[in-house]
Formats: sequence, structure tokens, C-alpha cells
Amino acid sequence: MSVDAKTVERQENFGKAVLEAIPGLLLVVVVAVIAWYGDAYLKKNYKKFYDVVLLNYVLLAIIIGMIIRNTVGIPNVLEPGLKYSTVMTKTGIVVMGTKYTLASLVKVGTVSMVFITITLFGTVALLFAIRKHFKMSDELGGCLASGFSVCGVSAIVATGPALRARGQEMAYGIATILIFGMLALFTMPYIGHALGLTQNQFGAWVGVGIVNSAQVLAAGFAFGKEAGLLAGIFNMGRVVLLPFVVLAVVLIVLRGSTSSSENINKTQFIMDKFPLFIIAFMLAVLANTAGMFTKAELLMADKVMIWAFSLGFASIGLTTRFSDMKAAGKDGIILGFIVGLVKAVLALIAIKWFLPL
Amino acid sequence: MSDPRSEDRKVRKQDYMVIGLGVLLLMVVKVAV
Repeated sequence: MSVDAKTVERQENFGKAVLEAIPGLLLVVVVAVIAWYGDAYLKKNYKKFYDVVLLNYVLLAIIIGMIIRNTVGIPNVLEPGLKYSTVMTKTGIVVMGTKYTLASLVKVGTVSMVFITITLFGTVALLFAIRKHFKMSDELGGCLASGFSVCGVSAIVATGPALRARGQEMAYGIATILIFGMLALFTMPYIGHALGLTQNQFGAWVGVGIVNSAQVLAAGFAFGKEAGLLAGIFNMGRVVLLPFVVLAVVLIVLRGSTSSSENINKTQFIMDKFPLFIIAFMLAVLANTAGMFTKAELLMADKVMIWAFSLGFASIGLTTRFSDMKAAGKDGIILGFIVGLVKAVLALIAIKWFLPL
Repeated sequence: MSDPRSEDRKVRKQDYMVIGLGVLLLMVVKVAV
């Protein structure tokens, strides 16, 4: 095929993908708008009840989405537009760069990176230490180790193929992580309030306790805006470390088969897995540091960020199937939950009593 | 079994989409305000 023909084919595929995504994206927008205005309405008319149940637009968007998905169901024509939750939340993260200057990022980033590095490699070690007590393949164990330490779905997508994991094993790992994250997202804000955590403490807690990026942000913003922003920074710290943790997990799992582990070009592996969108976030930080945005523009950017996140949260709800619980398998769920809980409890102790936040 | 290269390509494509959207939104903010 000639270069021109390839370009035309690529453009046609892109156009087709955009057209197919529109109906689903419209549903996402509708759910996000209902959650946004429903939140304002409930706050105004049922304030006491609302304050007790600690609902807000984040949780409302997810709940409405989950109700639609698991009751009336989603017609096939809407499915293609529902798979962009990660794109929307990551885009929100890029815009979030306008909230920071280089100095403020270094300030929050230094403490968070030390804490994140310890919890990441600690989680991998814990999972490999207790994995032998469960019935599962090395590949699924590896997927869970990287998924529960770094960044949920992206980490499993990065680890699975390198370990030659089967598609079903990757799907099990992803389902386990998303179910844990969903339960955490609905319980952690209540625990945070009960323990009197500050916004920063809560943001740091969900930033290491939950692994899926969209769920991290949802839990943070469910507690408060400041918590959501810090959760975003912690999440980014984990994302930056993704290639290194994934490489470590792959080398641990493949250590028995010398030829496979020696075949890996480590530098190339890290380059291939590096999350490029972080560069756009850093550009936004640099532009803000250089004073390129006026106060009014920063306020507008803040609204854009919140809406990008809201659309992402609505997509999470619309793609959460209760039946995924069965698909994850008993041993994977138990192991994942033990590791997730141990990490969340240890992180909570460290954040509440030892971390200068 | 998944093909490592095709998975990497998918993630990379998503990253480019995010970078494009993020930059576009920031430009819209600059122009609209």
C-alpha cells in the first residue's frame, strides 16, 4: 500500500471512530450534567440528608452511571463512546497543570515522591510474599503486583504482554483492581471524615490507597477540591514510576527463565512505557510559572478541569458492571483485597501521624 | 496472549490524544477569556 493510501485509510478510520463515539459521549455528557445540577438541587432542598450521606457531583455521576448500566443496560450503539474515561481524566490532569507553579509543584512533589516510592515497591514485595498461598499463575500474580502498586489498568496493560499473560488473566487483574477501587471510592471519604483527616491528608491517602487514576481523582474530589488536587499529584507520581515498577515486576516473574529476562532491553522498555502525557502537564505548569495565564483564564481553566474530570467520572459509572465481580475469580479478589487493605491501612497510619502534610 | 507492541502503541496513541486535547483546551481558554 502506498503512503497516500495509508494516510487516507488512517483518516477514514479516525473519522469512523469519532462518529461511532458520538452517541456514547452524549450519554456521558447528559449523566455529568444531571449529576452537576442534581447536586446543586439536592444541596439546596435536602441539605441535612445530603450532608449526612456526604454525596456530591462526583459520587452522583458515578452512581447514576452505574444504575443505568446495571438496570436498563446500555445499547451497543452507545458503547464505543464510553471507553474514554481515562482520556478525559488525563486531559483534566494536563489542564490541572495551570494550578501549579514549578516551585509549588516541587514543594508538594518532593514529599509525595518519597512516600509513593516506598509504598509502590512495598506493595510489590508484599504481593509477591503472600502470593504463593493463593492458587494463581505467575502471570496473574505479576499483573496484580504491578496493578495494585502503580496505576491500575495502565500498569496491567504494560505488564501483561511483557509476561506473555493471557487476555483473560489481564482482564481478571483489571476487574479486581476496579472493584477494589470502586469500594474504596465509596468508603474512604466516610472514613476520612470520621477520622478528621485534613484535605491534604485525605488527598495523599487516596493517592496511594486507590490505583486507578479516574477512581483516585473521584475519591479525592468526593472529599473536597484540595484533596482532589493533591490526589492528582500523588497519582501522577505513581504514573511517572510506572515503567520502573513494571520492569521490576517483569524481571521478578521472569527470573526463572533466564533467556526471557536477558532478552529485555531495559532502557528501551522504560522508554516504551513512559507516560508521555505527563510532558503536557509539565508544559502547563511551566506556562503558568512564566505568567502566561491571567486570573480570569486560570478560573476558566479550573472549570474546564472540573468538567473534564466530571465526564471521566460519569464514564466510570457507565462502564462499571456488577457482573465483573464474578469474572475476577475468588483467589485474585481475595489476594488483591488483602494487599489493597494492608496498603491503605499502613498509608493511613503514616499520613495521619508521620507525614508532614 | 496480547501483542506487547500493539498494546504499547494503543497507550501511546491515547497519550497523544490526551496531549492534543489538553493543549487544545488550554488554547480555547486563552482565546475565549
